Amino acid sequence: MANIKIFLEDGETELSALLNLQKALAMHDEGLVHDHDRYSDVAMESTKNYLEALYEEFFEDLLQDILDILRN
Amino acid sequence: MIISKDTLERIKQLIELKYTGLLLKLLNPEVLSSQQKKDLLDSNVSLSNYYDIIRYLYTYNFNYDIDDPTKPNSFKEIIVDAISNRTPNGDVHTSAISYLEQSLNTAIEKLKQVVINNISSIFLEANEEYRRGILQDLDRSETLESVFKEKFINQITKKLRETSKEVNRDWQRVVVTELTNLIGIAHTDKIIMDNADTDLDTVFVYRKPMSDACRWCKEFYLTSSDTPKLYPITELIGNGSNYGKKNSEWLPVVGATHPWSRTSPPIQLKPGFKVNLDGTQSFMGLKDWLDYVKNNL
Repeated sequence: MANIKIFLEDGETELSALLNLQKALAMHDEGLVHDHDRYSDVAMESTKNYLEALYEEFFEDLLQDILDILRN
Repeated sequence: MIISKDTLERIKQLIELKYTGLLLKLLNPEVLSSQQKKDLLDSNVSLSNYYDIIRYLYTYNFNYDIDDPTKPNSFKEIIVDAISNRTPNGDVHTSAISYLEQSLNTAIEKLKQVVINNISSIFLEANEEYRRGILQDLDRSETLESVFKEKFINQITKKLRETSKEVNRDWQRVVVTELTNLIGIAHTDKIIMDNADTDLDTVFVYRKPMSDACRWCKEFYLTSSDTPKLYPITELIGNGSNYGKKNSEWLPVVGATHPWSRTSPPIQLKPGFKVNLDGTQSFMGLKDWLDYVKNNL
């Protein structure tokens, strides 16, 4: 197994460095590292943006309706 | 003010109905159950206003090569283009579209359940806080009660807003994963149709991972010298899907390799061509081609 050296910043503890390292590895393993990438196909990137905006609007409407029920 | 069982039930029904409406907006009404259709009709929602988005996106990805300069440039152009009678016919396409619709349907159902659970937890917590408030002030006046109610609603609003950030992120993951799956499946179907008269074990493909690819994409789709790895298309198809599998069980596939994956769809390596570091192809001739393929599998 490969060894890694960790250099601690001021105020950083071994535990916090370990937790950050675990978080970074988990992010990489679960594919989250790709979440800021873009499709090379502009039409599919546009589709992704459309679907994200659609859901954001949908969920905002849903929250408003829920709050209306609670207020009445 | 306390959130009663009836209020919670009304809110759950609202969420059910809204998510069914979302399904209808995106998919063909055939994916809905009879009860879901009835609920929408009872709420005066027309079943004829839907995008059939999976069919359109599949059609677009099937009809155009990834480097075709004439292809649509936006979502709107995809819809306009796909409406103009270019949906491919046949069982291969019908079953692919149906599978992709089911996959998105399942993902949306799961999201809905997460939202219901999150909101139920927020209400449970709010009720508990309300109960504690009563215990601290048993003889509250009406004015104080209305102030308390407003504070209570504001707290719930804040918590629901916090949820929306997480929920939108879940949706982004669903969108990217489902789109990558669709792109991969549609392009694979195209390669199969283009090679209908060829032994598919001799049709070789590769996928181009993103420049900062994760270890899985690198391991699956790049050789040790970072050129795209070649696969007989039958191997990628035979590996099925990585959905619902632990990451230690993931395999190279035609669809989404993992959540958030944006790896390119399978691209066919033309006979006599080799693939370069950037994923483009250049002609090398047929003489040593099979040896080249064997060395890059």
